[in-house]
Amino acid sequence: MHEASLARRIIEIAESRAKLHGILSVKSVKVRVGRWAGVNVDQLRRAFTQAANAGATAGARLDVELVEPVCRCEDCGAVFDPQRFTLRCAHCGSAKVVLRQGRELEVVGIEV
Amino acid sequence: MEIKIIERILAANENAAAENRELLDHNHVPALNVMGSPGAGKTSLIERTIALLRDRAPVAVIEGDIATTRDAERVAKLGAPVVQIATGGECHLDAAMVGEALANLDLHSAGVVIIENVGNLVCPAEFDLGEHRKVVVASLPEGDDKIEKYPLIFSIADAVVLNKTDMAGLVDFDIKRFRSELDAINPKAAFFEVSCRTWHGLDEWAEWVAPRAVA
Repeated sequence: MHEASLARRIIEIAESRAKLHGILSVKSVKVRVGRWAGVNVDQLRRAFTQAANAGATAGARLDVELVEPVCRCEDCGAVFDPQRFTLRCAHCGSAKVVLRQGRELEVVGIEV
Repeated sequence: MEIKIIERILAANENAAAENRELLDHNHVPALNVMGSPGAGKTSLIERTIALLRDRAPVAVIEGDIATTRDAERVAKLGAPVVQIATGGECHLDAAMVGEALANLDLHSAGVVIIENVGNLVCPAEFDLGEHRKVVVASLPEGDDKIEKYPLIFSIADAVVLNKTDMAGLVDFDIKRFRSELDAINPKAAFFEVSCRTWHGLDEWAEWVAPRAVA
């Protein structure tokens, strides 16, 4: 999707935190990205490297923690890793499945 | 040293979406976000919906388009209030754009707001606009393999409308395969087979959008 604008937004978040703590140089920015968030991680890294060219994040690295999807069935209670993109219970076939993780898109830290 | 942060990257959009939803709820108007590829028939479906709901739920429309006002003109011809958003190159609508458009619509006299997203099966899936239900329009000429190719958008749809059923036989489209893939990815989605050209199946769809009051 919008890897370039996501990268800019990640940098804005990191810059504002760095400023808040009076940090002049950020080594890396940590993000959590769900595998089902619709983000191309390679593109995100490239976009980040290109955009991190000024301020505290100049030359910073992007650390990506990929979050695997986990589903929970509200009928049988099974918690499972959906092997492929599906919201049907792998155990009882129920449609009452909620995605507990796998759509994350968040900044979780800066290494200074 | 690491400084811990938890900040959602799309938080700005999510906040704007929550405001839109609040405004719509305050006016008791449900909103649909209609997504789908270019040419699937999103505007045609909206045109038909305007006609079918004229007496029970007047449709107000927000048209997202990259450059032209063509879709907005089509809708305006039918007498429905319409606000055009020219995204200027952006491949999706976001909640802030929709917020501006909502401010320019008379929500008080609307029965339902339909937002037509930019034709695209990828980016619109990521952006909550503050709508109540998401709809994906697909069509026979696009091919029956789209669900597994673009799983995210189909997985979040409240309804999938398969348009151009009048072309069955002219194009190779296995409706059974399409349905079973949808059932695997998103078993809760409502499914409608329609032809905006022949009006086939549209009554059921209109009933889903705005149920007739039970006497």
